[in-house]
Amino acid sequence: MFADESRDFLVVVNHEEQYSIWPADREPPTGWRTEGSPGPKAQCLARIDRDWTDLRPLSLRRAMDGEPR
Amino acid sequence: MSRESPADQPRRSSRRQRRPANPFALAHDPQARSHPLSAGQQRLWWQRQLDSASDRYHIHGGWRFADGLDPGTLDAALAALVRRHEILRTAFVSDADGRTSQHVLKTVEVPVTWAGRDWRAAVDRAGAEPFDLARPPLFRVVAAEPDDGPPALYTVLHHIVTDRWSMDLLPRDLFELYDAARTDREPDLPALAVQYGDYAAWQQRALTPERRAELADWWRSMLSGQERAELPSDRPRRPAPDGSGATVAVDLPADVTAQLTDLAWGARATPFIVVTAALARLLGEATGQGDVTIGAIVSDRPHGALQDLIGFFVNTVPLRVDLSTPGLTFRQALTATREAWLAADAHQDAPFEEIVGALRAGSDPGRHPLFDVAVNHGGDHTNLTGRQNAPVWWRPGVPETARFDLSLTTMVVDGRLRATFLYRPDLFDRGPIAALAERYVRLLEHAVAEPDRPMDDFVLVDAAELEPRDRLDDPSPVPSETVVELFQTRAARHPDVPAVVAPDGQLTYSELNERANRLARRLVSRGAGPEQVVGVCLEHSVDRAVVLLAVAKSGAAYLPLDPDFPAERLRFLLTDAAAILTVVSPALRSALPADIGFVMEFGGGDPDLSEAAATDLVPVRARPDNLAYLISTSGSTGKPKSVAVPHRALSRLAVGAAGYLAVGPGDTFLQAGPLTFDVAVLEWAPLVHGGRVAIAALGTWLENAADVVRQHGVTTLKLVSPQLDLLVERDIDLLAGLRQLIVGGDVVRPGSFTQARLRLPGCEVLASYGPTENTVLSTVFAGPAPSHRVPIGHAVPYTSIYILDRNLRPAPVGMRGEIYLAGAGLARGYHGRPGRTAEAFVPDPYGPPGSRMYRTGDVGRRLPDGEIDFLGRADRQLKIRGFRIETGEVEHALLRQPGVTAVVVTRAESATGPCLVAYLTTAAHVTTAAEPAAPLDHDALRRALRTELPAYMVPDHIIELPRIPLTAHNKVDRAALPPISRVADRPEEQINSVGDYGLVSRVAQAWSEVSGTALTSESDFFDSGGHSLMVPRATAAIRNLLGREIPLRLMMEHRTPASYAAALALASTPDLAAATREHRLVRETWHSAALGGDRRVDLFVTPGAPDAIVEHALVVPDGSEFVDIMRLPALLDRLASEGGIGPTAAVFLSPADSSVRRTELLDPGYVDVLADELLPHLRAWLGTRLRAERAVVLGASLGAVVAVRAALRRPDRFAGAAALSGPLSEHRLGPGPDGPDGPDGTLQGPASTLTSARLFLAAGDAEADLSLDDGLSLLEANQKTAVELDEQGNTVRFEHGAGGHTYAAWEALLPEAVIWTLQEGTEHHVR
Repeated sequence: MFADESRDFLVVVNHEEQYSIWPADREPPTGWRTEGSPGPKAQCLARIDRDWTDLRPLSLRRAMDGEPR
Repeated sequence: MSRESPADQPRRSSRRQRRPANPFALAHDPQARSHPLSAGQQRLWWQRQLDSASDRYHIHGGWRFADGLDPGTLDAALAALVRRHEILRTAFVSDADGRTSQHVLKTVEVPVTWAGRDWRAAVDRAGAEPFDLARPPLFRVVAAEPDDGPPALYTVLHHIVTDRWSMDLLPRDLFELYDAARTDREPDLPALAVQYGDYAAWQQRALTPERRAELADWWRSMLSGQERAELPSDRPRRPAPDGSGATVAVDLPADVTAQLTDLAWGARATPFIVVTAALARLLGEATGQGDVTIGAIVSDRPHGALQDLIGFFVNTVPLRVDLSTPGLTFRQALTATREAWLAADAHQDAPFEEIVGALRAGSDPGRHPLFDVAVNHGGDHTNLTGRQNAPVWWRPGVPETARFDLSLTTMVVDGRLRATFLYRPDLFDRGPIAALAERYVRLLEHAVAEPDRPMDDFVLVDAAELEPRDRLDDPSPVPSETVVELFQTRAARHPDVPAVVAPDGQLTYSELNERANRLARRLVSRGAGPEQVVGVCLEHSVDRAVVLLAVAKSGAAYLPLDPDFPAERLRFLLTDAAAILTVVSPALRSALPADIGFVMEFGGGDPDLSEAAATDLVPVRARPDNLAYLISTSGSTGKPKSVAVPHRALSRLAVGAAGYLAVGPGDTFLQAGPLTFDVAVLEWAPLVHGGRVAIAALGTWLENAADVVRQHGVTTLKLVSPQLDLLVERDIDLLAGLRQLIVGGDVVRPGSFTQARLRLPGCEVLASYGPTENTVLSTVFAGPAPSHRVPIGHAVPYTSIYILDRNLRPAPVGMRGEIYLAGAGLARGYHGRPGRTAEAFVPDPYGPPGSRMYRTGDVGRRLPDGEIDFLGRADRQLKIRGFRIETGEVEHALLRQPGVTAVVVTRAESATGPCLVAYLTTAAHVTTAAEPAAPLDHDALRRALRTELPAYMVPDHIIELPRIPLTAHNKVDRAALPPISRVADRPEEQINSVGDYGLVSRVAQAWSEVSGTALTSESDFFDSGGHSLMVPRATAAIRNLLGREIPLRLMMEHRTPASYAAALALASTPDLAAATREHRLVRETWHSAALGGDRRVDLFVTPGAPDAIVEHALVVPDGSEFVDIMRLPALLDRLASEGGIGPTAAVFLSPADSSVRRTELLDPGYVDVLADELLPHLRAWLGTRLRAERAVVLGASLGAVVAVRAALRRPDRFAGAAALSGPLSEHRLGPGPDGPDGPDGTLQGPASTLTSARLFLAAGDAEADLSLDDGLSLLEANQKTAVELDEQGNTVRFEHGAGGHTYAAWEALLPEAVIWTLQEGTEHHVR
């Protein structure tokens, strides 16, 4: 499924602002929203490389920004 | 969803072809007693030749005789039955050229075994005993008196004379004939207008070469690129299946059966198409490929006159169904299957073996050449025994036989569709097949209920199938403390308990804690904190534990560095991770490049941190989601990437380890990997559970593993599998006392696993599995290993494992799927690589909302008990010649061979296409023991593999390496494996192959003639237009050449002329090894100064004391043929022992290369090489033992020219010659200039005055047909030359006899030729 280069994929994001991909012809699992339009895998991954600038989960980012230890 | 257009008006009508009718009339030929075999019979005949012991093609039937069985009446009925059906008195005979035909005999008696009440043994024997197809009847009868009813008749026939339909006709005819005989009346049976032989001839007549070519073309394009739909097996595939079968039957409810029939007719299809479409879908799901080829077994009686004939009228038609389109509905699948069937049906006249040949699919005797799964729908034909007064079946329960891996037979019984899955129990357990059968029923239920819904939406896995996963997985949330808090709790609770022991000492929990606190403060002062990275490069000392704990306390993540990494890689890793500083052991400082930023040396008491506070840092600086460590892994391409693991995942490992590892108080844990290998992370587990970590230097401890284990009191040992292999090979008993051994990191070798279990009583042996991306360990397995593979087991705590099909649905139990991991152990991702992270860590449809799962890229399946069976890397499954090859299986088989210590099997491209290569290391390379092991015998290795693996899995190339190249991460570095072309110089193989080409080229020639394609010595017969039906003729040609029996299957095992010739030679010289030990037959590589090039020379002497006198010497050009094929050394032994000749030595010279053989033999200097180089070589070997003044030269064909020339031209060295079948008149023989010979072809030039040679000339009568350039036949040429040589004063004897230009004829002449030429004497013989 994910190895299938001929498929179109969606860029999906979860509540922790972690990015991933999902086959465009399927509904993403609960907890994931799509971002942008479907495209070839390489294109989706390039978008993610561009947009996902901080791999820390959102909750960690918030915690670290709020109360530095 | 629109309804499909009717079948008679299809969209693709322009492309549809109908099966053309046979243009000839089908008529009985009363004169013909011999017929060709039908296409189907040819296939069965061939199968029988391959597997002579098999009862796989026996067809059984049994019927009750309500009114009793009378012997006389039965004999009369059987005789009448055999009279009525010619096929029951037909013999299948093969002629000398390998052509087979069927001969109808006038009469054949069918023996009846009157077994009475003790019929069991008779029935079993009748069923199992093989038939000789050349000796009819292929029909056995047992009369039995079962306890549970009236007497019964049990019959067994070979499939070549019957089929399922015939097994309805047979009782009909037999009962009528019996009744007629009993009541003395004329039987009332339909007249038979034709007989089976008429059908076979009629069928073959229509199969003109043009028609065959047309059909072969169609099948070639239809099946090209098809991939085998192969079910994962529970046991390895053996070269020769035993043919046994077992069944699982499932019933479709009556209402669903009715719906199914309606659906079929509504789609203008038949129930056969429905069950086939569902099977194709099922296979697609089970194997992960949408495009499958199934064998459709169909009854084929294409003429009305054939309806009442007993005989083999079954066709097996490859049916390729492509259901890979996403979102396909079942109705669409039905249409696709129907279209595929109609097209295949139109071309089903192609003889099956020719389809195989057209596809160059090769032929593996243990395996169906095109598919492993077949379908057989028996629901549509009229059951003749269903009539009134029909015979009642008697089924005495005979063993099932399976011809395919899996076949599905469907039949409607009492309104319910019964699906019977017949499988090979030598390959499969019942559980996975039963699961498959259940899934098939669920699929059909969904399909007929919702034919227009995408099949991807069907939910076919039932709750019961998910139960093992639900039971064994542990998705519970992990405790929120980090290892820092967990360790500090322990340190406070038992400060004086030892925490870490290393060669340089031991630290208690409080000592370790205090030192780490001090260092942590120093690190913090240098900028270390959450989300910062600290490089570490550390020796095996207690300080290592201090540093790692200190980094964790500082809140930072550590990045382990190997001092052996190249400077470039170290720089890259540190820069890529943006490390703020690196902590290094003082001794390793010089291993690091200078320009890597701030470096802090730590170890052996330096620096002095005594002024820093020793108390815990409060609050704990790292949160659960902060990074704990980075581990670099080599990407398959490009730069290494680092897996970034948060504390939560580390805690999940460390806390969860208590569930399966002995790491608590009193336990001492040792792992043997370097810090850069993520197994080292396991050292956290004892530290949070009150156990002790032992740290020992890698590299030294395998040498003295037992000492280390004893010295540190190790109770729990983690090894990677190659280390276990090595220990098992040496002496694993030394590890006695260990409480737990856990092995992983690579595929665990079952032999080693079992040995460890057996030889370490009281020690629990675990196998483990886990990619770095899911924090060290994902599964553990506690044994015993149930199959040829060690399963990887079930999920460790806080972990879920899914086996998903290509639609991301749980794969059925037992079926192949990709392994996905989920839970608290997931890494954050690849450090600084968002795209790579997003690709590998994907949404988890089965976990909590928004959770992720990791795609391992590994393939596995769930066993019925819930454990996971690891099947290899998704990208390591190779397809070669259409066969799916799991390299792991080949590797395992190689590892089971003695001496083999490590293996990598991979695919390579050779000149002849893709091939399988095994790279291996042997004990000789690995052990440090002084005594080197014997060199590995590659041929013996291949022979051993052939007993374990099917032919297509035996590596084409075996390459020994001093060590398997590894990446920095201890994975095999495939890119660093040498290409096959660079290692072609395998000395031992050269010696074995040099000189064999005399036979090789004759094999190539014979095979080329049969296959119609020019083969080279390395051409695969089956890849070069040959197919199995050509094997008998190709073998017959070689059989005639050698004059001895050769099994047909030899060609299946040795598919190139070179390999075939080598096998023949090997079979001819079984005593070579023994002789070599006595130094009586020595094979060496010899360099001739005059001829150039390395060539094979064999030196031989008949038995005798080491200093015994040797009276005679023989010099033999084309030596390998005389040694390997005509077995001259053995003959000389026999003649010497019988006193026919005195003690004799021989030297055999083989040409360096077949291409130069002719030029070389005819070179004027060649006889001088024999005289001045070769003969002295023999003298040097024997020393003073050799008393023979002069030698005798022996040769055949061109070698005979050489022999006569040598005797005539070098009488100083040669006393005589034995010349067999030489084209003597074509060449100048006596002294004088060579070159084109005179037109009369006679001896030219002055005869030497010294000439008085003893010459034995011989030719075969069949060589009267072999004409030479000068117009003489070879026989005449020898006759004429003999007279001329005699007239010149030589002692000549001429012999001729039956035989041709063959090794067989020459071998027959050798005894007399040798005895006579070695005799001293003067008598004149010219006949």
